[in-house]
Amino acid sequence: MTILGSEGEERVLMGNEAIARGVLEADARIITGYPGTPSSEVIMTLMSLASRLGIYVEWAVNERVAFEIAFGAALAGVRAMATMKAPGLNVATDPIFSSAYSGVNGGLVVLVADDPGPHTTQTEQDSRWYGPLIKLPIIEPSSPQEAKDFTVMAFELSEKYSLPFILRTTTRVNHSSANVVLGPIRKRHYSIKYVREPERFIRASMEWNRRRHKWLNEVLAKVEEDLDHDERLFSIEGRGEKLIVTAGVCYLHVKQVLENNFRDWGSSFTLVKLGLIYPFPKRPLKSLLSRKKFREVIVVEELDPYIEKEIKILLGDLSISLPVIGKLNGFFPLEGEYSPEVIERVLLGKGKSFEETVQAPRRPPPMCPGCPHRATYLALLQALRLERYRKEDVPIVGDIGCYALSVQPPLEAIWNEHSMGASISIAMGLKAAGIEKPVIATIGDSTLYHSGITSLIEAAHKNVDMLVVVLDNETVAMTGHQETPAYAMTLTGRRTTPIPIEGLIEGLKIKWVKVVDPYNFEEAVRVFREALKQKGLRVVISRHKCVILAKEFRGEVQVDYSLCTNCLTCIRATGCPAFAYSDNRVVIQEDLCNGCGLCTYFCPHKALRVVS
Amino acid sequence: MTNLLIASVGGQGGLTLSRVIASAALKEGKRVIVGETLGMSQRGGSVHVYIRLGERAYSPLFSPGEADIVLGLEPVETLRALKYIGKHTLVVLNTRPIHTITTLLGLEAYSSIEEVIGRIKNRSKKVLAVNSYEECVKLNFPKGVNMHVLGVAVGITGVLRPETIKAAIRELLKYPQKNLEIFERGLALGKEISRSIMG
Repeated sequence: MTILGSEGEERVLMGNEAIARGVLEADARIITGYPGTPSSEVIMTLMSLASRLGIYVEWAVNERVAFEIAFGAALAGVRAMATMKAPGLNVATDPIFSSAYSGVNGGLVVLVADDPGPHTTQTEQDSRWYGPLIKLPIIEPSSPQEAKDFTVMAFELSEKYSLPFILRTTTRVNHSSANVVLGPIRKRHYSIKYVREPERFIRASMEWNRRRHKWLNEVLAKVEEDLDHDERLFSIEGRGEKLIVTAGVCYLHVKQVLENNFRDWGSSFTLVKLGLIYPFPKRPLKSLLSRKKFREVIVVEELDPYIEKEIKILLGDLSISLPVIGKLNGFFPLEGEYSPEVIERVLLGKGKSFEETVQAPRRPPPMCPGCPHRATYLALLQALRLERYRKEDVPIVGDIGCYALSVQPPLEAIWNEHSMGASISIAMGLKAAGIEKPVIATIGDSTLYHSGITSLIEAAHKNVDMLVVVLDNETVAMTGHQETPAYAMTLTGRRTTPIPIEGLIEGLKIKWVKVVDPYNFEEAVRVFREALKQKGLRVVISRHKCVILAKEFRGEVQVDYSLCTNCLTCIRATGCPAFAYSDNRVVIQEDLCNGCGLCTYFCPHKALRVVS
Repeated sequence: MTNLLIASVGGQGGLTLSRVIASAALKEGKRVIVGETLGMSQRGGSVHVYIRLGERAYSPLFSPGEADIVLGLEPVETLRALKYIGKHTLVVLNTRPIHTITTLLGLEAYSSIEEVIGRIKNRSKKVLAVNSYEECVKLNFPKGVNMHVLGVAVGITGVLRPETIKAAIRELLKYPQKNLEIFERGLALGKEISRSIMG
């Protein structure tokens, strides 16, 4: 839905669209990040408006670079934002730590989207701990409306206190949609300048660093003093003797459970919602706890017991002995996403409300029909077979991207998928440990640009005996088709200098580099076989555009039922979701088949063919 | 407050359906909150969307048994949403199965449509199995299953006004004419069923 509109208008916006609207209302001018579910839609929403509004909205090569660009802009006095998912924050933290010591001039907001569940992330990282670790303030919205409002507030506060602010969200806020009332777009007059202040901006003097650390601690104390009771960030409802403390989307779950189950919940419960996560709002909670006699404290938060531990410290300080119902004593789970159901179990003492186990077949996400990654892995596995390697002897290290779906049957190709760009260096480690059989790293184009390239430099420098396969589908597919540095134009229409992978690695002087099209299947198998016979570092760039972006296959695949014996080899070899059974025979679903013809290589009876 | 649940497979237009519903609700001045559960893939994974309409709507997720209307675009996905179906829930179910990779490979059996309907009927008698896909193919628009199922549910329940839904379809969808036509078909079917039950 469009995020343009006047003050007071109401829209149904997704949390990430609401954050994008907040960026416009705050008149931030530099917005950058690296794609990562569930954070990507903020930049995707703004990209369509960037050239019209004259703001800089671009994907960066990785999160660290994105943060540094936004930081630089904020040093020049411009409001800027960097967006990322939780693991992306880990990539960016080195410069973020130092930015707390120097501070900023223009407002700087880092959006980090955590993923309880997890739905699409390698860990259930709780980024709230970064508050006390990096020493930067964190605020957390509970709804799309707050996502917008807190974004505007974060820019204002960041500027007021000259400190970057972290806007922490969770999937359920990023990806929920709800009514949002638009606020005013306050155009700002920017005077762009950057003044030389060595003590602030240079971290080479230890004396300066110590002084800046003191400055930071003082500012954080001031932030706490000013904001801990700010009613936008601290709300109290009800007057009952059971105190519930919560934050983020859990507030909405709790509210729903209370509204659904109690006629007048306010007489039994006092509900506190926190918006300020760090510095922790100790004072108003202390005041509440000492002013009123509560029977128990219930802390409702996803992932780690961050709030719960703070509450326990407060109760200790006040010498108040109260039962704290939370995670530490096992009432609430430490893992997974919360829902009203999880909260009902504790608040209402309901047992397991749903005993019946649902026996529905699993639906693991498949590679799309016509996905070039399927062709690459099948060619690679075929080459291993023909070179007489056993599949279980040759580790194939994967990386982050759609190609990780090759873990699923029937391919069951990759052995390892760890974190962005890790495949090449992990494969190096396997080789260094003494694995004698070939070791193969497989990495996507965007992941190579993001951070895999530094590992490739290392592998080239040490001339490691391994095969690196770059699965180049010419896009960042999994997160919704963002551009890579190979593009001549970004999605906002900015003309750029394309940096093709061949050019990028040319300077590494790798002796054996081949480029193949995996849909030239027999040739691809031949190249992989040759690669397996070589020694030293070999690189195969397996390039074919993502099928969702380019449906260039001609025709469709048809089954010749006079030849088909229903042996199902086509399905067992490829696992292509365009196949189905109907009336006890293999059929190809026309609306799903892209006509790539990969299956035709595997039919032992020549019953499959591409017809145009 | 009304709770709707969309159970679908990526590529069937489950998310688009939720956007149409949310936009129609906004036009009627209703509060709406939508939560979605997506797998990792662009296409082919489970996509379940939770929609709450009304003043006391807060959480983007439901508790078990809380769905008032289930829009089941695919049988096994509707089965997966079983716990949200209560005694009062209306389930509109498109009967055309989409295999999972595990059922295609024979690692698991795809539940038969009779089994799916039977399991749902154990929880709610208000189950309506419709071959929406067939209807859409007849109109030469196989992608219209989402709008057909919506039409049927709206025809039976009147949860939203057809006019606001049609306005939302015109604003949001790529092929408004085809989608409107299919929505109308579903609507007519829903009204007919509703009359026959009442009569």
